[in-house]
Amino acid sequence: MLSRCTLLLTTAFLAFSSGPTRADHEYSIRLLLPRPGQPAVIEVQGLDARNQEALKRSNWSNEKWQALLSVKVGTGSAAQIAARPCLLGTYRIHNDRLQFTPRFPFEPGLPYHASLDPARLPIPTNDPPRTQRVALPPPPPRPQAFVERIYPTRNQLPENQLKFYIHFSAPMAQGRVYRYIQLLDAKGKAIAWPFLELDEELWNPDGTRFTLFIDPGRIKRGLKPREDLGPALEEGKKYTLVIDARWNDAEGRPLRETYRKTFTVVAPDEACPSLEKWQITAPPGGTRRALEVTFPEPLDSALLQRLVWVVDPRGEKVPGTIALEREETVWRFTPEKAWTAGEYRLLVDTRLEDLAGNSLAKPFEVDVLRKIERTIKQETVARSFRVTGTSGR
Amino acid sequence: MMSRNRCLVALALALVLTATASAGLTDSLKQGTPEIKSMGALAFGPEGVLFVADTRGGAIFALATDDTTASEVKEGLKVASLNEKIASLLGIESKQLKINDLAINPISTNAYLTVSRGTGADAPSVLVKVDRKGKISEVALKDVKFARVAINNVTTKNRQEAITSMAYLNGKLFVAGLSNEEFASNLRVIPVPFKDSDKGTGIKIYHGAHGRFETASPVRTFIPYDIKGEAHLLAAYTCTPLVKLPVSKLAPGQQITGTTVAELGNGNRPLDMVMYQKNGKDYLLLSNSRRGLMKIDMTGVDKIEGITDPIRGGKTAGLKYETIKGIEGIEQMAKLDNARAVVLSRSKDALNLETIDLP
Repeated sequence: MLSRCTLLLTTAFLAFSSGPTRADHEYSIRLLLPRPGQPAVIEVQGLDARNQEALKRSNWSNEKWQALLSVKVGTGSAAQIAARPCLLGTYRIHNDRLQFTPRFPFEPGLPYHASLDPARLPIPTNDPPRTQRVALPPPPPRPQAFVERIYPTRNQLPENQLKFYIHFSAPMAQGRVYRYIQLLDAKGKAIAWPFLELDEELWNPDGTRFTLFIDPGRIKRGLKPREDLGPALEEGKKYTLVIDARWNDAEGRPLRETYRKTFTVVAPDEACPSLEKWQITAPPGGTRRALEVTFPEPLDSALLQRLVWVVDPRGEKVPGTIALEREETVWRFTPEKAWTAGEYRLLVDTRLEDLAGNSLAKPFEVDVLRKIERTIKQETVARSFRVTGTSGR
Repeated sequence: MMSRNRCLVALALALVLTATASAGLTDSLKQGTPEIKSMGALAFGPEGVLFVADTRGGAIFALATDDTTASEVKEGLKVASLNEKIASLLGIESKQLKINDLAINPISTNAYLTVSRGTGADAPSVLVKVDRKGKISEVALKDVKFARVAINNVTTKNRQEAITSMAYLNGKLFVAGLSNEEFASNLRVIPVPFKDSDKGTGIKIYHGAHGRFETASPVRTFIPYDIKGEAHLLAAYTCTPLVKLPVSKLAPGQQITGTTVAELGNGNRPLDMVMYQKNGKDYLLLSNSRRGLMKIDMTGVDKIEGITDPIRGGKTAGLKYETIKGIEGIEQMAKLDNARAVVLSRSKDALNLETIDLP
């Protein structure tokens, strides 16, 4: 009986679908849009009651289900699509329909091809296999991502500059990103192998900041890369760091524009930052005016957010917000509540680094034959400052 | 004959001792569903236990794979366009798939890969198995035996530590990490089975160039290696040189400087290492982003006191090595057996899983 039926797929999609619309009876394949708590599923209607019962009772392997209803992804010729493995997922009979739930949600905008082979039903029929292309609507367009800024923001950098932080306006695509980053000399020629390229790319948790290290083998003296090629950056020369617009954001769209940071290189910095040289401008009591700390050189923008803090006269950490100004030479701290009169302390973790990776504790490299660099053993160092004026009440 | 018998007895004894030392690792794991935020670096321990680094979650997981039967397949692993096939299984295009690491289960010789489904920071990770017949499947992580150890990893809004390499050796898991903020060495030693009370200790590793310039250089990748009966790690620093580090000195609170045994030259990005024996000699095969494969002869590694003179003019010093031609674009490599390695190599957009003879 069934074998004499003409099968046709109707395209009763809730989502849009492309491909021919068929108007025959019996079977239809459609994509059900996701609902709260329920992913999108592919559904086949029109199975006869005997096959439904048999499928419900069946203990089929995944391979057997996939032979009956295969779901494949992507574009290409019919042969290319057919050659791909089926999507992982689960099958069940639900409300007289055969449902396929993918292991991972269908990607909006990406085509999927569902193929039903009635010959593979528990009670097979002679009807030909049919394929239907379905897709969830593509996501609504959002503004294109762009490079917001690159730290350090200064345009004179030491020859032993260690790292850059690239801040993006939106989460970016990860994986093989170094092909989008170049360091050019003054004539626009690319410097060979200037960066430390890691498979495990150094991203912040939300994917909006990328840390780019200059290859330490090109900075540290006495190593073969530097002996053979010289330092990546040379004093007195001009360079441009280029972030290519072909770098995609996490949604697969390219950057709004290519970003360039041009800078000149000055003498290497081999000295540790020193807390004694910092200028602290204490705010008046009774106000929420910012505490301002000025350094003689720019310090690492990321570490300044994490490794410098203020404790009150009772030794408790003061909550507030940090802002960096004047090319990361000023650290401004605005407390949540007004300052009260008394002795506060500025605490600094000695891992805080300058642009060349010299920390308060230790220079980036120690010349062991010239032991003039100091090393600090403590984990934190502190300087006191006094808030005078009203008690703040 | 006598000598052969002695060898057999010694081998049997060694096997018994190894089994005894590792017995109970699976038993120490608890049944449940691990909440792994991201899956990156992999390393196999005894009993088919797989260690998985979770960078986003700041933890290491030990998972019982229950994959403890040796494969009878003799042919090497070979899957063309593996990235496209895995992407198809996961319902995405291959450009949206990121392969994070590859490891071979030394017991079954099946391959395991960690992949990210998507390129964004919050892309879900999947553990994939490719068996010796080339069948690709997802390793379901529901209701499995596992253990988790949080690593002492300061994660703030922006700071995160990438775990770049792991290796198991004699009841310890060695873990190398690299912060996205401070430049510092971060090698941890974590006792196995994991204990809540001992989350591993960081060891400060230094690198000295020519006995003069010393940095707290992070270790990028490493492999355990026995030198004259003493356990060592052979490690590649982010600043290129290959060093030896005696495991006995990798103890809490220690600060040690690696001894440079080879300088690998510019443009190198050491990726994975495989140690093997051939014609009675030990070799280290090192995959490299730009220089293909490098075969390093370990002869004399015990005697090297460190390279102390500058090496100029494209020359190299320390252990001798040769570059193996004809194998390019390797992104992952793992040892299959003492004669073969499995590599994942890129050809345009396709990543092919292939087996190569160890040179």
